[in-house]
Amino acid sequence: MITPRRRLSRRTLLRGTGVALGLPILEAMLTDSGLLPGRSSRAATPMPRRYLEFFFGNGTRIDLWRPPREGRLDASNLSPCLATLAAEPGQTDILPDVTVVGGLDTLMPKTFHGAYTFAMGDYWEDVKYLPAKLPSIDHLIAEAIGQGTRFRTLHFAHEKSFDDNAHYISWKPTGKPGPYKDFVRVDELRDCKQMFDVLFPNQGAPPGSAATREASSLLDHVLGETTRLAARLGAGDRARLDEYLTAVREVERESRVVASCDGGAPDFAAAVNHRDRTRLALRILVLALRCDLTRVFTFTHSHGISMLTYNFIPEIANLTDHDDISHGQVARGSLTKEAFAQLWASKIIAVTRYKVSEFAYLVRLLKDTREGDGTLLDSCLAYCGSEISTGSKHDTVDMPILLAGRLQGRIRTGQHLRYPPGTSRQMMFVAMMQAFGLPLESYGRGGDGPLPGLLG
Amino acid sequence: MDREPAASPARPSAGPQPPPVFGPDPPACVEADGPPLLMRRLTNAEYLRTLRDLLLIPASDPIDDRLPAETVSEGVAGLAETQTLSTLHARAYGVLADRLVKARLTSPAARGPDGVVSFVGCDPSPPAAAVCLRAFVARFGRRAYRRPLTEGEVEGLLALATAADPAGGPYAAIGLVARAILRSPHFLFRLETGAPVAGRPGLSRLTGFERASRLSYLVLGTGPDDALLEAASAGALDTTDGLLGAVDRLLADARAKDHSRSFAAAWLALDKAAQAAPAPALFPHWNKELALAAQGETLRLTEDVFWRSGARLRDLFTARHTFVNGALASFYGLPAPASGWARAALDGLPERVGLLTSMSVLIGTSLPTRTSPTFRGKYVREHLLCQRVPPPPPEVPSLEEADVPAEPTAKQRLDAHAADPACAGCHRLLDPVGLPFEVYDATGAYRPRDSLGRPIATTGRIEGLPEPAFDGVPALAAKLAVAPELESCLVTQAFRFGFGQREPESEPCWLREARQAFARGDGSYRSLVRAYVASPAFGFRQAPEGGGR
Repeated sequence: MITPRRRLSRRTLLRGTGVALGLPILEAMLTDSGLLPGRSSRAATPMPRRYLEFFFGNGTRIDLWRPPREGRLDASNLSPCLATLAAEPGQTDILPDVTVVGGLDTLMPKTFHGAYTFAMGDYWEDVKYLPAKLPSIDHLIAEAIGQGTRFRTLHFAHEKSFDDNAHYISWKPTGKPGPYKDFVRVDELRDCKQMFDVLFPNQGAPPGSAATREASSLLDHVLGETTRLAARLGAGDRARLDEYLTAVREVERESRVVASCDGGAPDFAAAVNHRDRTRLALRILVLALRCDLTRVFTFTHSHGISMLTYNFIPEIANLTDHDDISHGQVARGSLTKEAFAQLWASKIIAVTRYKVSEFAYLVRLLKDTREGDGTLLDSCLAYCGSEISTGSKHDTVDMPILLAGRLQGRIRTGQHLRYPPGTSRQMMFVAMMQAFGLPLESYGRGGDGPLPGLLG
Repeated sequence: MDREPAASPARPSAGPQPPPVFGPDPPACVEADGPPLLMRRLTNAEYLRTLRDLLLIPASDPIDDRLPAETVSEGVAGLAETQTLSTLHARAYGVLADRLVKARLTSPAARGPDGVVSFVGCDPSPPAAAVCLRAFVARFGRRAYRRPLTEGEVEGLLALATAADPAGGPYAAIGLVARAILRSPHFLFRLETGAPVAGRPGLSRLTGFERASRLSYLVLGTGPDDALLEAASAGALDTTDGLLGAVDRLLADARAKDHSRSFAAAWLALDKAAQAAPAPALFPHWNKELALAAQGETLRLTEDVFWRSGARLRDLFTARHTFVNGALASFYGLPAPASGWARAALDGLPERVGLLTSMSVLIGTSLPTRTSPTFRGKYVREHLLCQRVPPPPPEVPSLEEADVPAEPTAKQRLDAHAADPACAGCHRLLDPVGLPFEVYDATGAYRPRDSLGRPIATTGRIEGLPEPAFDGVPALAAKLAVAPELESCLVTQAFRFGFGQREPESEPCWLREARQAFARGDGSYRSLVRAYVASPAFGFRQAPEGGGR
């Protein structure tokens, strides 16, 4: 067991701010165009660094997730839920690149509110209406590493049944106070074909052509008109208009960054079930990394309170992920209580293995992709987890967390780390952000310093 | 409030004028309690409908819009507070404007008999090119911005037109201007700046054009047409009578019927049914054809109740008839119509009455693998009575831990939840309402006995209504139909739909007045729309925190 150096505190750090930085750059960070100067310059690193998130809904059962021993992670040290991390014959072994982080606590109330706390250091009372208090860490990291790319961040989600704020894992700063204040949810792409078209549009008109001149005049006109309108509006309305202004500028910026590689032509029609679509989306996202179109993406495999059914997995066919599997609404028949508990556990193991296998697919894909003298995975840090720990209890202590990728030697992998009860998960976020060069000392509830044991 | 419409929208100057409710002094009620409204962008549905109207795109042409999904909060989509505006929106707006304008300018089908592109309305070839361009900017701009353009705006667009590709043909300048207008915040946002009310910071009286927009989006779901903009320009929307006259004209428009479905869908969360996917292995009788049929039934039943003369909205719950096609008739056990759709009496089916026992509602309140009495109880409370049900408490005992017998009935299963004091409060309000629905399975099929052959109890209780006990969903429906809470909720739903926002927690006086007005009327959809439009809140806007203007 690793004991953090610092005394752990449950207090919310500077409630309402929650982010404390070592340098006075908070204001710059919160403006839409502000750059966050990283400590290390990109020029000094051979390959760009990348940050990825893989979210799955409904948690797991933490006793079936936790590997047997602390220390080295290998095929003999995997739990029933994590079995699908192990390589099958002929597959690349990714266990040396994965760290299982156990025992961390979100320090948030047990929640039904969905996924938004996955990469967010604090919660808020009425998630349906109120804006977030903090940006999620993907946007903080994007400020450090995503500046030059066509897309600062990319977001993909599978499931269409919930469009509630609570189910979005990515929240970015607007930099604008007002009724739409501070931190807004980021809309997600939902369809592989749409994502592909956004990433690899038919290359537009060549520079200097009539169509390019038209487009540039059009943009000037719209920006001018919007700016003039904003000047006439009160602060409340202007905040909403500014969102549009920011979005138009961002789209324009994207169009100026020319893609350096070609996407090929995926077979969209061949993806018939959830697993096919998951892997297709992951392949497209990894292609975006390889082409350096983005350095940060988030992937939602399934939402919190997911009602998906995975009929292609025999053990859990015709069961919904949320109620039937997570809450044990499994046909009990005349089983004894013990036999029923065993049956239910087998369903939870099956559904978690599926989720973990898809994260393993992503990690393996990265490791199988050559880049420079190594692999794409060498320059990545991927964070995989859920919004709750044990699904039936909706608890948020001892969160299920996997990290993968050494981030050019900054992260120690191939281990199972455990922390004492009450250790803030936000300390892991601080360590992760520091690994990306963010000069940040604390973040969110109890995130008063970097989690020990993680940084290489 | 429910006055007869004026004979003509533009009233003659002779004779006594009605009180100008939108005059310099706002009514006392608005003065005290103006509706604080956030600025909204057009919802996806409003945007697409307005775009179709502007470019004269036929309803039969699908638009592949790629807009991000609207946020749904407690079953309501596109509320101002939860609206997002991301790069995905900005990208889609730009791509759609470019693609659709180009398609309309080049498609032979988009031209009139004179060979002129219909939405342009004039021939931009020399020698009349400049005249046509200026006319287009003024006319198209006025429809898109929903008010006349200022001289500066016209000049700005004409200046932009000079950047058009000289080799692009006669429509190049028009195309460029149209693409700019369709990206404009004046088009994309429901701007309501109005005129400030003296002494009331943040409160403004809407202009006639802004009221025209409110009316048109409320009744038709699209921007005002030329006639309504003319009426606004003539001051005809400055009085309640003038507004009600305009409402009656819009309600007579064929598109009003279409748009009333959007209100029905928002009120009754009908989209949920459209997305439902019962597990095929458990419900082999259910298929896509039935799912479409269920939507067709709801659409026809709501249309019948919304638009049939003499019908009241609450009849939706007590209707002893519905509309079926062959597939649905065999599902319900009704005689199949000779062909297509037909109205069918429910005489032989005592278990079916009105909307609550229709496939749409029953499937929309179920999970893919089973029913949820709690969801069904919640549906009645939230959608029909506008009551707020708090989310479940943090610690829910799982069935493994709860003391449930083997093969529990639905009731035993829920009783185990409700045994926990933390859960009991809400489940006491929800489950006795939802359990009698158990005789309808997750696809809405009738099943008087459960899978083990045990009869399903139909007795229920709806706390809070007078004489709360009832036996069977038809009895619950009859109780709801006469409940003043339902009528009151309908007005609330109309305001949520119209303002795109939830009502304040403390009942504002203008909402109370509208409820009273609706209660005095005939209970029809028309009278609901009129009660909303005649409300003192209709012509005003209280800016959000931070100031709107």
